[in-house]
Amino acid sequence: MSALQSQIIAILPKLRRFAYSLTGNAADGDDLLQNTVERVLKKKHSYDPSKKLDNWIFTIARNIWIDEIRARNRRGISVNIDDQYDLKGSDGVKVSEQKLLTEQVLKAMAKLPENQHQVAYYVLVEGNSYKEAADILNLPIGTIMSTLSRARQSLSATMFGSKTNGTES
Amino acid sequence: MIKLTDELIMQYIDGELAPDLALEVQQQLLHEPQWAIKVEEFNTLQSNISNAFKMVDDKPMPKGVLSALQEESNVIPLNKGSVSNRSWFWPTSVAASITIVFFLGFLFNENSLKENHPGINSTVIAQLNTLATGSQREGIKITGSYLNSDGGFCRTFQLSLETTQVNALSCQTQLGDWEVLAYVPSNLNDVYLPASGETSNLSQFVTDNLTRVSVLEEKAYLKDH
Repeated sequence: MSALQSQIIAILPKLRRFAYSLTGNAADGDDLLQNTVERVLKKKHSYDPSKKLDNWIFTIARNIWIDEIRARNRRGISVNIDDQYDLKGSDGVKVSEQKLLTEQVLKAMAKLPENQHQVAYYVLVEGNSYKEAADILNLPIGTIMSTLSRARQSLSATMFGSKTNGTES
Repeated sequence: MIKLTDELIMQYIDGELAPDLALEVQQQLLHEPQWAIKVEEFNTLQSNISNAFKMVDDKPMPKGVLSALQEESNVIPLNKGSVSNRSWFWPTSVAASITIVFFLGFLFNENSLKENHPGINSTVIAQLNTLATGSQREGIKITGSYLNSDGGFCRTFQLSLETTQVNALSCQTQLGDWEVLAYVPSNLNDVYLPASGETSNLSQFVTDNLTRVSVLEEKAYLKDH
């Protein structure tokens, strides 16, 4: 196995989280993951090893998804969000609640504008610090913070129906 | 008295504040319930996001993705690690750990922690005493606070090591020390391990056996430190 393939395998879980957060559901997320891996393997010779592999792959994934949305809009096709999580649990109610919650989170993430989605993904999903996110996205920390604040408020509004536009008095 | 702002609260939630400042914010929150509610909402949001993506991680990887990679290279050592090979010792070791702590007077020291649980050192232990749920610092991210059946304070957390991410659970003993009861590494750089059974088991164990504490209750526990 080549070093590149090992690296791709290592970041598969991260890539899947990114794909799900982008598409907002498991079915499209898995399709996007599949298409991205195939595209990456086809284009592997154009990868510049001095660049971060995950950034390169995430850009490919985002572009594929943008193309897919455009194609769907042209065809007037709606998204099927009937996904399965294959969770095993003794408490069916609990599992259903978790599944519902997961769907809500993914949909809320997918609704974010691109800049907010990127920052929310790195900080809230992957747990990167502001500085790490700033380095990855090549943005000032202040921009990370303000964008994250807007993303959090949007996510909160979508999930809890609240409008947390600041509590300062 | 510190003036709470959106920016400060966000940094507090994300573990981006210096410990002294975080403590000030924490204390001020006790006097400003409207901000405490907001912190609770954002912590709930973070907890929901963490749980949602934990669920995503627990799904088996689509076969098509693995096939695509296998076609590229004939042999990929998937499932190199197995559940039994990893540092997973629920639930029998819980009893053993408690026995050790209460009857043999065993106290964790930094050396024993390092030896048994790589990455868990006095710095990490200190974060267990101070960080709010959803916050992260020094490579540790607190994912939940709970009480066990004896009323002991427990915390779940993620630890980001150089090549591994670890999900763990630690509970305070009656002596006030932290006992690491679960330590579940995922050696992602070594090989991809689909559907983390241990993580799922850890979540399930926590859900079934521990009681989640509210943000205000958590604050009270953290305040003691």
